[in-house]
Amino acid sequence: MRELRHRLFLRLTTWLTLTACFAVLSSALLLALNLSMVMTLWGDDIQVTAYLNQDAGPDRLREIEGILKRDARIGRFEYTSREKALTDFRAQMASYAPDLAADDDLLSLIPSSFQISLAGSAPADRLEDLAHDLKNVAGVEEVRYGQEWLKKYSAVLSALKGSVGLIGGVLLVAGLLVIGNAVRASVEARRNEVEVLEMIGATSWMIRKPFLMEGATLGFLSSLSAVILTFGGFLAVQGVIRDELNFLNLAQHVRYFPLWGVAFAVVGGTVLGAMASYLCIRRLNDGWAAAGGRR
Amino acid sequence: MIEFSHVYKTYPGPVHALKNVDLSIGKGEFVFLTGPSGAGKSTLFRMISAFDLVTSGHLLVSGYDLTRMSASEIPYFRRRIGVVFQDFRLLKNLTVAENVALPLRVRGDTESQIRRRVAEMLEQVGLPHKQDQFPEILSGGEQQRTAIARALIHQPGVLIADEPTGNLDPELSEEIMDLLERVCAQGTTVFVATHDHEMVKRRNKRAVRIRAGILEGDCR
Repeated sequence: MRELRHRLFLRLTTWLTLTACFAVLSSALLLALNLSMVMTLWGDDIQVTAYLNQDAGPDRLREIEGILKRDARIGRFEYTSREKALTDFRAQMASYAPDLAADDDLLSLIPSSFQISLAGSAPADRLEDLAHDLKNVAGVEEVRYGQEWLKKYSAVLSALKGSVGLIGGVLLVAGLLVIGNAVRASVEARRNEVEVLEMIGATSWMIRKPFLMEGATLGFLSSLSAVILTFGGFLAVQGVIRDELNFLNLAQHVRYFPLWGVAFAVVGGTVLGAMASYLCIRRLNDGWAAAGGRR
Repeated sequence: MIEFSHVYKTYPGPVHALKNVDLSIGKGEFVFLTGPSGAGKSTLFRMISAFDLVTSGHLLVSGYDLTRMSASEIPYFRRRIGVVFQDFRLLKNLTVAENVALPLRVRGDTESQIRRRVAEMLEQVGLPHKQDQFPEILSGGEQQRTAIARALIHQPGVLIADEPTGNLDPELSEEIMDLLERVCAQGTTVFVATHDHEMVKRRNKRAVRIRAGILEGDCR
């Protein structure tokens, strides 16, 4: 009875440990996935603004328009003349800084510009390339696209992805070791049974199958539990984003893993469990087990 | 059925467990293997049951050449022999009937075949009324009879028993030896290791003596 209780306790702690490992891994993946999605979303909203030289005439303007039309990276663009820019600026600043809105000398510096939206998604490197190319176009004085913010965000995302990869690797190895330990303990507890089965002519598969099933079951239960746990956490976070951070307008965009991803995670956990088990028992009953495999 | 031919077994050290063993046991024979502790009796039995390899020489058991056998053939060879140990080696979590049935389950027999054979074997060893009991509550003699039933249920040609009465009192020991003789009378080759010289004398069977890995005598 004591032995049975001990084995149940061992299985419970193994399941809990594995669930925690998988939950941390899937949470990190989910975070990276959604941050990447948010970046793409915000990137899609980012417009590149190309400010023109003060002396850019109509001919130069037509040249620039032609260049923008021919560039496949550009989805659409809109020209804002100095006069329109001035009108918009005065309208915005009238209540905040009325003196500034009335300063004609300062306002004469406001340039005309093109507001450019990219075709498709806008990762940081594409924006950077486009901005670099636009800067070299004659008549373009300055190009802005919120690059400082985007670079920092992109760097954070890259670091996060790298960390997720590292953590994922560590957790997978830890998972393998935890399952391996549980199976090893099971083999030790059933050593007598294994020896008897060997003695009466059970094949390697007959002897190893229960342990492989044990490892696979541990992997399955842990990965399924982790998926459920992570989903619960996701719903909670989504609620917070919707209720407390609704100004970010992200609640409807954050996503849990797609169904195939969930299936992949559960199947992956099961396979990992079976694999960890196999690594522990592959020398079990190789036909000369009692002799330690010596030939 | 069992043929040792110039068999040597050496372990790292070197430890010479068996030296130039030549032994031939025919079908239906009952043979004792006697010798002091550490003489090589268990090593000999481990060779016969394919739990260890000979270092040199040849060993034939029930038509199988153990020196040329591959690892994948071993389980199928072991289904042709029966093994009985001093410590019974019954599984605590299985009933008597379930323990006895194990070799047939491994072989893949049908449930009806298993039920029939288990009933026959338990009758033969005198334990039909114990079939639903667990080994822990059986006496030593009853446990050993269960082990013998398990070793014979698949009708092996050879039964090897390594000190089968080592943990039993004299009265129970006689019971077990009587059972083994009955088994032999039905055509099974029986090879029993024992250090009980008195019992060997009483039974008047062929006795092979081993000392320090060398066969010293063969009394028929």
